[in-house]
Amino acid sequence: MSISTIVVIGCLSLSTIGLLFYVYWVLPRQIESRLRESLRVFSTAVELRFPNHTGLTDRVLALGLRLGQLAGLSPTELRDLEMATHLRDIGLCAIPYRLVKEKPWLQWTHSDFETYDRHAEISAHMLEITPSLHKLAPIVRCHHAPYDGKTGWFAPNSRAIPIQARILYVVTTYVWFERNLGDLLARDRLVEGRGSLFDPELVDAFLRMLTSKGVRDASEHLAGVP
Amino acid sequence: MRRSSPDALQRHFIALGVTALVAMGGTVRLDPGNRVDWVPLLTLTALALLAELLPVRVNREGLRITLSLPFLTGIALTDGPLGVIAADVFITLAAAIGLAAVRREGVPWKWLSANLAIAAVSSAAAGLCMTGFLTASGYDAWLLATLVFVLVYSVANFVIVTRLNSVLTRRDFSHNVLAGLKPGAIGLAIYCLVALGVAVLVQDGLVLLAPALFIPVIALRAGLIMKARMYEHYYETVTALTLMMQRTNPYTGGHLERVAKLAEEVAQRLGIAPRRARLVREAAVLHDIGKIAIDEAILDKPAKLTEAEMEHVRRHPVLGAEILSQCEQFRALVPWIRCHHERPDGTGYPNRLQDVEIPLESKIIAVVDAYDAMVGEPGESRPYRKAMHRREALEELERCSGTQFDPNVVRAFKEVLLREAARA
Repeated sequence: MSISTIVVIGCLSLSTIGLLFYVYWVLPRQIESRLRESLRVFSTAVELRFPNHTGLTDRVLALGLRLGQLAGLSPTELRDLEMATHLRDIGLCAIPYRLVKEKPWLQWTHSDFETYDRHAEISAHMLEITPSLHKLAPIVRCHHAPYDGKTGWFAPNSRAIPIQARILYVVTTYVWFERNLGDLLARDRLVEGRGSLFDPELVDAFLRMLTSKGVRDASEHLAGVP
Repeated sequence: MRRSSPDALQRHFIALGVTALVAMGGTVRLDPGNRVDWVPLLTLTALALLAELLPVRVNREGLRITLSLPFLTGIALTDGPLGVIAADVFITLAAAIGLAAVRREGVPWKWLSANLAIAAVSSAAAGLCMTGFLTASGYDAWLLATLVFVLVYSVANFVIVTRLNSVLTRRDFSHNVLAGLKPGAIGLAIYCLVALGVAVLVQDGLVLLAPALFIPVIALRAGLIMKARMYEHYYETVTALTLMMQRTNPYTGGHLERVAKLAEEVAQRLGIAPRRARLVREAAVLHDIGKIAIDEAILDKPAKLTEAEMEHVRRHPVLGAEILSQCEQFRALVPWIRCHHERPDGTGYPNRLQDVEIPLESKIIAVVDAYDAMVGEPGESRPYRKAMHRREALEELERCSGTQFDPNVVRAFKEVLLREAARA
């Protein structure tokens, strides 16, 4: 083997190692981080439209991922849950501004709640026409779907509801009530809807999770409970 | 994006075909007539064919690239220009037919003919340059000759493909060349290294080890796929944000598309670099993203807005900037969007900036958006206002030039419209 062969093969080997490192280590992380950043754009847009949603996504994300881990979700399923958490409410841009911004939700009529709940379907429609996000559409569509398939305007059979959607329903309900009525009433709401609105196993796991010391501390720190 | 007339494309195809025939004729005449070395020829052709069967789609227009060049370089070294032309034409043909069969689609004969012609011209040019270089500098300079082959082949291929792409999309050729230089240069550096690897194995009689060189090729391919996915996700994010905006606002896709296209052309007219002009296009699509957070009842109000309502609406540039600042990829657009309602006379909002403080890109968006809002049909951009005639709208821009709009941008905008009219 000549000197030039050794030099060329040596340079090529080093470059290949560098290229492999860049392609299989650096690039995937870069893609992941850009994906997360771009998802934050959507949740920020919703939070700026409806400031009473500010901070909800971060809280839902923290609790939802923890519950997802307890429910035994795979890393891919957890990633879908994380993305769906950011994108679940993009349909709120089509919900009348004055309903959410100017009318206290405790005064909402049944019709107002129905109008509001349509944001899940609108969000799902928007995701369906975005190729890299369309797989999240079923999760987002069902994130307010009742577990028993009886309540509400959109009520699929519980088996048709993806587990990430069931997790989101439990966690978003808790976080919303926790912010507005406090932790105890938020827990009562989950217990009340256990088996009808919410997956009973997830409710049990979630309540157990909230009782654990670490989460209680985090909840008090993050939630701003009144 | 406007497509070229079929005649222009056909003329380019005919010119390409004639060039290919001339190149092949010239190669037959000038080829020194190497003895065919079957083992390297078959091994490297098989590897080149395998690389050709794994194309990567690199842009939204469907442009695909393949990574067979390093293996063709080895064939050029052992079998001369004629050998490399034959191998390149064969692998292009076989891969196109094979891929069409796998995808259960018809063979795209028109584009396949163009690809065959491109392969013949690039191989002939590179093969003859390499032979000429070897003859002039002595046959020991094969390492440098390898680099000459890769460089000439890449340049010929890049120029022809970029030219066809410009004809097809009616974008300026020089801008397309500039836009493709950086990604092309990175790929070229890796091509050169792998081609040198092939060359040393061929020279040392170790050509059967060449399949190991598929590792960097596969890594490069994976990198290109990931980069393409990253760009695709970026454009999908823009699309999804546009959809959100359209849900809250009376804009139509037609208005946004026209504003985006005109903004890019005005930016290029004003000498902004192609990559930055492309960003201006995206900023023009997203410039009103902040209106997501504005009460749609006020935006749709058919009567004059009260001062309080105006104040509410005037928040949208700041809100838009805040939304987009969450993502690194949109950071360049943030100041442009924040300032797109600033005026050169210092009476704009949100910060009443003076002329020199307003980014040129914001001024472009302001002019193009105002013009399209004036000439757009009712319901396209402003539901309560009747469409103006183009002449009236241009007169209005002229009238506000220097106060509301930048005079240079208005001038460039008029030139773009005149050029559009001449094309039509």
